[in-house]
Amino acid sequence: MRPLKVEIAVANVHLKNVSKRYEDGNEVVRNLTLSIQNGEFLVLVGPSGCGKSTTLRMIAGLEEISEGTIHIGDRIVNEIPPKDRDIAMVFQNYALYPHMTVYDNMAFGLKLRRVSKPEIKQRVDRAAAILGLEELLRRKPKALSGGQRQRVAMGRAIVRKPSVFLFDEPLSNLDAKMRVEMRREILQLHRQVATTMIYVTHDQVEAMTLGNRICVMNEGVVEQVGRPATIFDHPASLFVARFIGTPPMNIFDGRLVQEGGALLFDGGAIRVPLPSDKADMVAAYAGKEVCLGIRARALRLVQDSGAVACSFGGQVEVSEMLGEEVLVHIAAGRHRFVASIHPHEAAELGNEAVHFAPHLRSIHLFDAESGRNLTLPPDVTRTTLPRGEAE
Amino acid sequence: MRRDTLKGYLFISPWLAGFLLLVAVPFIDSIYLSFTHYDVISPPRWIGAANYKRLVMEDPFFWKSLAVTLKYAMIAVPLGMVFGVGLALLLNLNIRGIRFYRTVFYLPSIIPLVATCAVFTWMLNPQMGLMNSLLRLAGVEGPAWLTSQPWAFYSLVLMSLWTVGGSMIIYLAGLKDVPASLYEAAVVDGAGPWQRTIHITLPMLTPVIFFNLVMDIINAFKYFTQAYIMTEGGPEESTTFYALYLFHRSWRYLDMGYASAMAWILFLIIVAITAMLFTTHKRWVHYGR
Repeated sequence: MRPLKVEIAVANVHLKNVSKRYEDGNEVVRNLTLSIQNGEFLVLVGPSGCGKSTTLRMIAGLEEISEGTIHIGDRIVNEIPPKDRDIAMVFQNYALYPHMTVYDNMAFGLKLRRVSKPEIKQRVDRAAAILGLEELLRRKPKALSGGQRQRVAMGRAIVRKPSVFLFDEPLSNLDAKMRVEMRREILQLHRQVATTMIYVTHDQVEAMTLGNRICVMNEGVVEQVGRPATIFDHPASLFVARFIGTPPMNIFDGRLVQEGGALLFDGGAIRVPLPSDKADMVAAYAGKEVCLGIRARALRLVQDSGAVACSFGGQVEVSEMLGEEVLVHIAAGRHRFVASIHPHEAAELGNEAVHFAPHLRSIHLFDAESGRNLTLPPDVTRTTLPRGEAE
Repeated sequence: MRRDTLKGYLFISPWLAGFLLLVAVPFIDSIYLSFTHYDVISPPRWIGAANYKRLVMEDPFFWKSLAVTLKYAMIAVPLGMVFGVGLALLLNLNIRGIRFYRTVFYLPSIIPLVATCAVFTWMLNPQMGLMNSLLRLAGVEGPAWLTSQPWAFYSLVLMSLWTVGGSMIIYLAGLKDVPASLYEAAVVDGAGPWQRTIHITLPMLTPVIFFNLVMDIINAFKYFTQAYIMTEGGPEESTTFYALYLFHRSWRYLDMGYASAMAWILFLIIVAITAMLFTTHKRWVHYGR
């Protein structure tokens, strides 16, 4: 893609207590409140059926809003048809018109809006230049590769100069290599057009790499909204902890016990003393069922378990060589967990039991019942929980 | 492997025997017959291309019946397509009781043609028929539909719409095949219902339209039953379709050689028109995806 300046209007998008219910009573989005800032790239991410696509389609106007309001700019758009919402959408299967050339596909929306012919040509040519489609304008979609079709679908959105771009899983039909390539192009596009973008995906890697902020959804509600790094470091719930990050965070069930004046997580084979700041936050949970969360990279291989304050051991089940790192899968009593170690360390691993020391600053404790993270820093609680978003 | 092949042929043998005896043999035999004089009673006598020559050079009814058939194809086929597509579009709407409507509109195409003809003959009866009774209520004296010119011909054209449900079902299947995301993309692009029909539905339907066009034209050239039962080719040969004239030649005049020649000319015309349609189809038929 070439650096080309494109001026496009920007808009705030506000969703306020939005719900979607179908006639059979099935509620797929529940009381969702979310604000998307001017020029922001927000990613809605979650497993299939979590309501992310429905949310996007409500913003687009392809689904009716059962309850609540959606603002785009300073207008409530609930009753405004899609074509007047000043949005453009890129669909999962591209939805290119098969009987039209690439040029006509991009020009179609402009023709319907009675934009003059020279103006259409100018806009299409410019979008084609941004996306590297100049040579393909006379072709039909059938004669294009998946990545090229994807670019045409984006071109169709760009030429309209909308104030909001909506992407509905646009990369899921591409192969892994092409996905990485298109991810980069979408980021560059966002930098060039500086327009608000709302992007739906079930792929947490895509969400992490693309979003200024990501909104993790589960079963129709927002679990957490925030910057990718914040959500990775401070998942608000067990669901987010398991969903974001590769490999997913290790979760151990157990209970909090008081031992010698200090709080300790007791999971049988795995016992971890809490650092004082975390202990303060969960003091009320002493004696209760909790879950301990540790990322694979917060575990350090130790040779001599007596030399560190806290460590636990287990048997290596399998190890996966990923190049930069090796993921070792460990069985420790009734627990299973994954640790990331350096390939050099992995080479020295024998069959005997191995010991790991957790990085105590980066452990998380979750309420076993509600799944809520009990060790979230207050500012993260304030800014990334859906309640914090409500006005 | 060879045993399986043998078994396969054994299983299709009833059909194969029927096809060979009732289709393939007469089909090939008719080529020979078309170069003979054959009145069924005495054996066929070789006369070379005389039948073809007589048809083209000396038989005004050959040309007249061909003209009637062409006229029918040119009026009834487009009319049927417009109604078929239009009906399919209506029956593709998401409204209450749509299955019932689909059934109702399809039903006429599975009623035996002879029964339909009998009902229409009664409906179009100038004195006591439903059609003229209704017109009389409106103060209009209707024509003798099936026995006067040009009404007889157009009565048959209008009647052809009665069985439009057959092609409607195929159009409907084509409509169901258009990906919903195309309509959503068009909605976001700003297309209203009419523009979606023109710019999305019809182009996406062209493969089905093309199929129905070819089939409808072939059927138009074979048009026979209704004219045979309802008008017997009259008045003044205005409904003597090609196939009806062919039938008269073969079974009324027992001129089998001549009729075979007619059949082969019809076959070549249908092949030529179909081939012509296929040469145009690259320009207007869009195969999706």
